[in-house]
Amino acid sequence: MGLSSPPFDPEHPLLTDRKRLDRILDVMFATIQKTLFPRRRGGVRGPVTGQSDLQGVAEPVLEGTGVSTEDALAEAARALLQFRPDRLEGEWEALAVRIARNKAVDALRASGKGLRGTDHRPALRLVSGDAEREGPGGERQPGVFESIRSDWGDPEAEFLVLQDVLKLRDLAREALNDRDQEIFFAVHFHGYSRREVGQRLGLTSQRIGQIYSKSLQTLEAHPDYPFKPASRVERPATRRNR
Amino acid sequence: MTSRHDSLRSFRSAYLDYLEGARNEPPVVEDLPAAQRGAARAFIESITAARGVDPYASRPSIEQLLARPRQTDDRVGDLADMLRDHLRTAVDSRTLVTPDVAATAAGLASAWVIQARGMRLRIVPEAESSELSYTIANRAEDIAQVFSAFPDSHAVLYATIGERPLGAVVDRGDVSNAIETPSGERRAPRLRRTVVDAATACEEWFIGMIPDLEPASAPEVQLPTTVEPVLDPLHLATEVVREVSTAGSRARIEAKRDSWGAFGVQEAQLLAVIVEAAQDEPLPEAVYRAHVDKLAEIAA
Repeated sequence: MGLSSPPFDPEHPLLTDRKRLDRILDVMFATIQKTLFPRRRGGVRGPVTGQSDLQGVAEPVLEGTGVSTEDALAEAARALLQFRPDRLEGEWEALAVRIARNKAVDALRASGKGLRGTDHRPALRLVSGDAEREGPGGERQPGVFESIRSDWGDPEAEFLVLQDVLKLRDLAREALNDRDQEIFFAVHFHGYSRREVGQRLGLTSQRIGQIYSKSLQTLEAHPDYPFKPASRVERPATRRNR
Repeated sequence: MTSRHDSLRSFRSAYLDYLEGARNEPPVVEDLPAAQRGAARAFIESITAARGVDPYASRPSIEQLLARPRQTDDRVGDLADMLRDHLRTAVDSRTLVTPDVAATAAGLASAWVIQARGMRLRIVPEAESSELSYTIANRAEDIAQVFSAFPDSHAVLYATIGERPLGAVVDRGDVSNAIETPSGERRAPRLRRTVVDAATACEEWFIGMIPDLEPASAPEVQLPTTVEPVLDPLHLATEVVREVSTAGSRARIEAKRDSWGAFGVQEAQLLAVIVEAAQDEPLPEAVYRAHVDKLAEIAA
């Protein structure tokens, strides 16, 4: 009904080029994750709270909606495939980032309104889009609703940088041992403080910092490291040296 | 070499301190030797972009994603409820907003039908964050199919769902390609009306189509059950006598014209007595005959 009615064209260029579609979906997934559950400055991990371990245990969902990153990605994927190729201006990659952002914002706006229960998915953990408006020192932090658009830059540039982030993730999986990988992901991706990681693993924060730094050096030395300074193109819109 | 690594490592550690809230300001890239600034900027870009991406999350395949249930149908219902409430207040107290079962069965884009002031408006919903001015180009064909399948549709409300739904009413002609003059170029369909909030878009369209020609509330119709069941005998008799008298006046036969044309109030009153007597109870033939004889006597 209504929104789901337009069918997919089996000859859609993205359906006939599955490698490209997979790359695009990976970046859309990352875009939605970043928008729904951002990690912000001050050791604050966005609206995701109460995680029992560094890797997370359940698929987080937005309070009141039961909407998860995968739900938002499903909506975004439908919208992308329903977009008629002859109407496309620019690249599919940039369009995909724009759609992913919009779908994530739709999910955030709907959160907290009790539109859907979560009884049908009891394993999910509820988090709030309004959560954590105060920093660790009691200072006010921008809420999710206030900050989501301020981080947005050129979608094409964002696609490229997120693609590099995913390459970095894959490289870490390949080049680091399990312990170093866990620490690297916890600090670099999840935004845990070194002290928090140390407490979870029974190590000092200094030791965590050393392992993280060593892991970063290992990755930088790898020929496939995606963030090599020489290969970086200036992207003012996405470089936010806060 | 060691010094180079040390200064970069210190920079990264200081930047992590900043991210963890231990420093108020980030370290300054320009304080590093020129050769290390690129690496420092790349580190900042890397950690800024990576924050929030879950490295353990596994993305579902496209087939799994498309098989997931929709999240938006409830919100389309919210839009319909809101429009019904608004239109009943602002346009027509008898407004109906019903699910468009026929369109759903046919796989068409229309989700609900609005009926008010004798007009029929179908709703084609769009996702909340959509820019309708742009997405219309992509949905024009769907809307054209709705018009084609339902000739009784006067227009389509193309509207977003969500907390603050926006919309614009689309006419049949709006979803066709146009030829621009004087260039002669083919132009894709576009919204002719401004996108405003969905309730206002509907209200203005209905009022624009049916200004004040049709009252919002129809006058009370007197049903048969409310009509007085008892006839007025005198009124009935007067009407009958008048018809007979008129017929007599037009008669070509002089005798008939003289007799029938003379019928008047007296005959009507006596006839009313007969009718009244018959209303209360069955009229015995003897009584009836007596009334008729008296009537004939007066008429003579």
